[in-house]
Amino acid sequence: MFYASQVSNALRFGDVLKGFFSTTPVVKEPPLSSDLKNCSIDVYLPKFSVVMDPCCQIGNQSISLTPLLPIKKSFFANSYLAEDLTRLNRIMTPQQAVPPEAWAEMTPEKKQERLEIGDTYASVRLFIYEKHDLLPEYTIHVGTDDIETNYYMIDFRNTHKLSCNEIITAEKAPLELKVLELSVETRQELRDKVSSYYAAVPKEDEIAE
Amino acid sequence: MSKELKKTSYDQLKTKGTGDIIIGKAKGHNHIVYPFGKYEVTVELSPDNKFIGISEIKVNKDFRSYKQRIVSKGFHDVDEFYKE
Repeated sequence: MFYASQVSNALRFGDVLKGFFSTTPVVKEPPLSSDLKNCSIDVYLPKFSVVMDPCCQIGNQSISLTPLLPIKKSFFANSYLAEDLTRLNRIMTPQQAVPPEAWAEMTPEKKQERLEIGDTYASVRLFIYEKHDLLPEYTIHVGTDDIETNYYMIDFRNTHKLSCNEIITAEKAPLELKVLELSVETRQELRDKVSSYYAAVPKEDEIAE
Repeated sequence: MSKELKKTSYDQLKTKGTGDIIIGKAKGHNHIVYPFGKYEVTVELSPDNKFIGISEIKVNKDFRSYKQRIVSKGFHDVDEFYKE
């Protein structure tokens, strides 16, 4: 079960909320000058946002959110993912991580490089949200086909802080804006993948270990 | 006793003897290490992969979980396959 059958009376990590905007600061030519001419802030109102704070950190008039985005149509090129897009949230084999045609065309050396990595996450900064009746359908154009879907995804890199006086604690918050809550199992999957996003050791640091 | 005979007896003792230490060193046998909680269990298999016994149990000094260990190795770089 991807979502909890009943939402609790508190904001939780991974919750889907409505009614919050998303912001991205933009700097055209760093460093910034004191007149702030080279910077702007992009603001848009996504239909839904996802809570990215751990449950115990929600409060003090602020919250970390990331917008719920349409999924990439290119995922449908991989039959393993197309069968169940939430597989992207879990560890998979090197072969499952790429479209079958791409795997077939890969040189033996490239395949060996990937096989040596073993089972791990693909698209480590993305997490898929399963379809739900409360999430509106949209159309994806894949080749000549139109696919109706209400799967969504989040990109951890879009996470931003939002200040709101009504968010006192996880319980004392505008709970009427809460649309969906993840099940305990799915929340653990999200926690694992977010952790791995930061836990992956780059090659240049492996030598120092 | 000739030197050669001495060596043969020693090899036979190593490969055919019974007892924990000798089993773990049998020629041609496979040894597979399985993590089990905070322990690492070494299982001994015959050349045709039949279970023979447990040859070693030791404390696993890497206290990261299985999941933590595999994700720290990196992740599948797949961005080139999923461009929009």
